[in-house]
Parts: sequence; structure tokens; C-alpha cells
Amino acid sequence: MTTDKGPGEMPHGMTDTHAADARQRRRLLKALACTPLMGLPGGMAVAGGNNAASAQGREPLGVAISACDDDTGQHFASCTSYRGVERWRQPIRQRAHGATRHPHKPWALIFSRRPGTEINVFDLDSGERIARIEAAPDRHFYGHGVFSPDGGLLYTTENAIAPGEGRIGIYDVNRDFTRIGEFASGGIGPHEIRLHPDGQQLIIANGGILTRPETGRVKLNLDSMQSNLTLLDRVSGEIRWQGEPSHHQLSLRHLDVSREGVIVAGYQYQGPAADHRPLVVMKHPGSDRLQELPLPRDYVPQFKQYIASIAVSPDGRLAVATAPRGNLITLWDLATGELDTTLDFADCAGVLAVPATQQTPAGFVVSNGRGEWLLIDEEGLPALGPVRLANTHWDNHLALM
Amino acid sequence: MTANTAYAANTGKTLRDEWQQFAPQLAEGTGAFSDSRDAVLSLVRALTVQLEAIKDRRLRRPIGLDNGGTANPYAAESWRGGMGLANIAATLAMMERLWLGNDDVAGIQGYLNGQVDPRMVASTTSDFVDARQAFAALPDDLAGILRDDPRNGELQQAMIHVETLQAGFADTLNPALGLSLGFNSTDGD
Repeated sequence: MTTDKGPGEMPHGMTDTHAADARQRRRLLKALACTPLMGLPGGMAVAGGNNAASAQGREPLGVAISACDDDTGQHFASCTSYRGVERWRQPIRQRAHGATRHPHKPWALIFSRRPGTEINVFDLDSGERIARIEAAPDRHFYGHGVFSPDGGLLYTTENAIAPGEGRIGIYDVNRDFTRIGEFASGGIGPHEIRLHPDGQQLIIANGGILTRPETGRVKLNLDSMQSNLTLLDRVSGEIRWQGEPSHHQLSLRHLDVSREGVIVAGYQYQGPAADHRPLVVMKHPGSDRLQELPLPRDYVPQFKQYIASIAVSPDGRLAVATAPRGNLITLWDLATGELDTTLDFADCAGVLAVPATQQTPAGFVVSNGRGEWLLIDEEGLPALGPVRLANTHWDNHLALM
Repeated sequence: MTANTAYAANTGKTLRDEWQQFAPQLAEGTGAFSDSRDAVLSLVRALTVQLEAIKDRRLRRPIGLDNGGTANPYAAESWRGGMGLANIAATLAMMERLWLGNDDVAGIQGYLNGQVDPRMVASTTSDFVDARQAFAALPDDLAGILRDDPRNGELQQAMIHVETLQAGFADTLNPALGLSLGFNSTDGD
């Protein structure tokens, strides 16, 4: 990849003025236009995301990457089979959150959670660390990122700390992950990000909640917060679509997308515990509307207003949402928009749609904070486990490798 | 009928086989567990979650305590067979056995006596007794009570004893043992 400016001359802030913004965007467009990797061969739609829908076009390795802590609080990146057998674990300095795989190379990236400043890159086979990406000045990560379909660019959700605005950082993979620019994310607190199966759009959940490194994880704007789901053109940075929740204290945080572009996202409600709010939303490719799926009244006290992770089956029939505060795995029928069934699984958070392997059926892997690992089939029935790994607390997410 | 019976038998056999593999790990604190403390604390966590499920789903939901007070007999477990309360009583009895142990094996309480203030342990032991006695005074059928007399005083009493028992685990024993109730549920993102 070549650009007309060296990396050192690319300022990180792009939004000081509109003119600077436009100038930077043109520069970035020019840089991208020079990149032969950017062409999608034959217009093929290949998502380079974290889920089973993204596995089309390459053979999944039968393992997932997850962050975890041990009993002493040391943080790790772990590579573990769908059956719950750990292949390797490597210590990392900051507690991590989500992960993603490079579309072609055997690289696993694991992202620090807010307000962390590191992305660690590991070789999937050996577990050896290949690189460590540091956040730019005045930026921290939110724990999620995704590659472009060709693997030439990495996009991450970031906080521009001084203005308190969301950014999508853009990194050139072929120049040692040099940061080459950024887009406005379309809101405050951008969290999970996925590549749309059209290969062109980034799907971003802007959580709407302002935090600052000096006050740690304290939420600073709960009265005025406004979350949204944003579709962003990954080349121009233009917002193609935005949808807002029905209440301003519903924070969109985690999401997944099917092969056909059905997006499902989970809310974390910041209002009173007794309020009856929806917690799972869906957007169909043909619709301009964010469709909130009704939560039956009886489940309100149990869900405790909190969804941790979302996984959509590749065919888009079923979504799994984990509710760790309710100790529940919840399965949603996306054709009817109804809560279909629930499974008890204490402190469950990580969930991942996985394809069939020789030993395991297609379904979902779910992990919890007690080191337990469960495989459920596409009917939502336990297929294997739970198996428990001692001295392990699985963190929020699982990513397909 | 033959197919159903075969399925039940098969499931039972699998369960027995898996339990026979798992039981030594639990007893010795090996395999899935770091040590015996980890094994016992895993049981404490499991009981805590199960008690919360009994309170919220098997009692509060059908009694209607979270929807403004309208009882829903059909939300009761085993409403057709009329065994909703009998099932809860059986689960509580199993938990109490794990808690107390027997002449040969110290239960959870025996282990915890050396770990936390013995008064906390004694309090939970007596909460188990209260809950057991309260359920013994009730019929087997929860749905039936809710149809006939949703404000039944003995049912309310049993509910209070389950809540007390659950709070003892969640609010007293877990914190005293240094167990956060959830890695993800209390510090997720």
C-alpha cells in the first residue's frame, strides 16, 4: 500500500474543522484508491467479521479466541476449541474484550476493553505474539474491531478523549498496522463493529455513554445519552443509515449480522430496574426501521436490563442473546421476532455461532465467568458440555477463527 | 411409549456415566477444579443461582409478584401434573442434603465453618429448616392454590423463607467467601 504522505504526516484528529475533515477524507480516499487490495474480486460479498456468517470463503479452524482472567486477575488471550479444549493462552497487559481474525492470514487480534490502549496480534497456530498495536494519542479502544474483506485495513472503535466523540480508527495492515486515519463513528461510545456482508459498510453500535480515562468506567452522561445503530461507508466514511432506540437510555452495545444482512443488536438499559423495555433489536436489509423485539413482561426482572453478547445463525433464522445478570441464554426467533426459549447458564456472556465440524454440530458456543463452556445446537439444545476450565473466567466475547 | 422409555433410559445412563466421571473431580478438587476450595465454592455458586431461579421463576412469576399482582397458574411449573410445590420442595431437600452432608461426608457447611463466621453458616442451616417446614405445610400443587386462593398465607410464608434463604447465600455467604456473583454480570461492558 502506498500513500502520498508518510504515516507521520497523517494527523490523527480529522474533525477539528469541516475543511480539515474534507481534506483528510480526500487524502484517505486517494490512499485507498491506490490500494490494489481494496477491489472485491467479482463483487463477491465476503464478510471478514467475527462470526459464522463471515466464515464463508474460508475454512474455519474449529477454534475461538476469547479474553479471560485467571483467579489472580491476570489477563489472557485464549485459543480454545468448540469443545472447550484450550490450545494456548498468552498473558496480556490489559483486560481484553472482543477479538477478530484476519480474513486470510492466521492472525488473531484481541482488543483491550475501554479505556484500554492495546491490540495484541497472535499467531493462531503457535500462540506467539506477532505485534502489539498502541492507541493513538488522545484515543483509547472500546474492545472491538474488524478487517476489510481483503484484510488490507483494520477498523476499530475508539474514543476521541478530549471531545468525547466516537471514532473509527483505520489501520494499514500491510504497513505494520500504521494508523492512516479515522472516521467519525456517528455517536458517542462506539462499541461493537461488524463488516456488513456487502463488504462495503461497517455496522457500528454507538452506545451513547460518555466515559473518560481519568474517571475510569464511570458513566458521565446518563441523563442526556443517546445511542444509535450506524451503517457507515467504510471507504468514504459517510453515514448511510442511522436508527435510534425508542428510549434515550437504551444503550446499543453488541451486535451480529447474518449472511443476508439481518442485523441483531442487544441493549443495556440505564434506567430504573422495574421499567419494561425491549432488550433485543433487529434491522432487516430491506427496512429503514430499527425493530425492537418485545420482551415478555415476566422476563423483565430476570434479564435485569442487560444483554452481553449477540450471535446470529448464519442463515438468519435465530439469534442468541446472553443475559449474564439473569443467568440466561436466550434464543430469539427472527421470523416472528419472539423470544423462543431460554437456557439457564450462570454469568454467561460470550456467544458465537459456529459451523459444524467433524466432532461438533453447527450451533452456538457459549462461555461464562466461571470458566464453563457450552455448545448448543441450532435448536438451542445443549449438545456438549458444559465443560469447565479451572482458574479461568471467560470474558465477554468469543470470536470465530 | 417404548421409544419414550428407551429415550429416558438412555438419558439416565448418559447422566450416570458423566456423573461417575465428574464426581471424583468434585470430591477431590481435581480436573475441572483448581482445588477442593474451588470445588466447594462452585457448589455454593450453583446453589445461589438455583435459589434465585426458584424464587424468581418458580414462585414470583406464577404468583404474579413482578407484574402487578396478577397470579398466573399456567406459569407454575408442572401445572398439569399439579406438582409445582412438590418439585420445589424436592429441590430444596436435595440442596439441604448437600449443605448438611451426612455421617461420612461433611457437607458444604462443614467446609465453610472454617472459612467464614460460623454464625453465618448456622443461620443458613436454620433457613433451610424453615423453608422445608414451610413447604411441608403446603399441598403439592402450586397452580391449584393460585386458582383457588392466590393470596394463600402459607404460600406467602414459604415464599418469604425461600427469599431469606436465597438472600443468605447471595448477600452474606458469597461476599464473605470473596465470591463476586459474576465476572461478566457485575463487570461486563
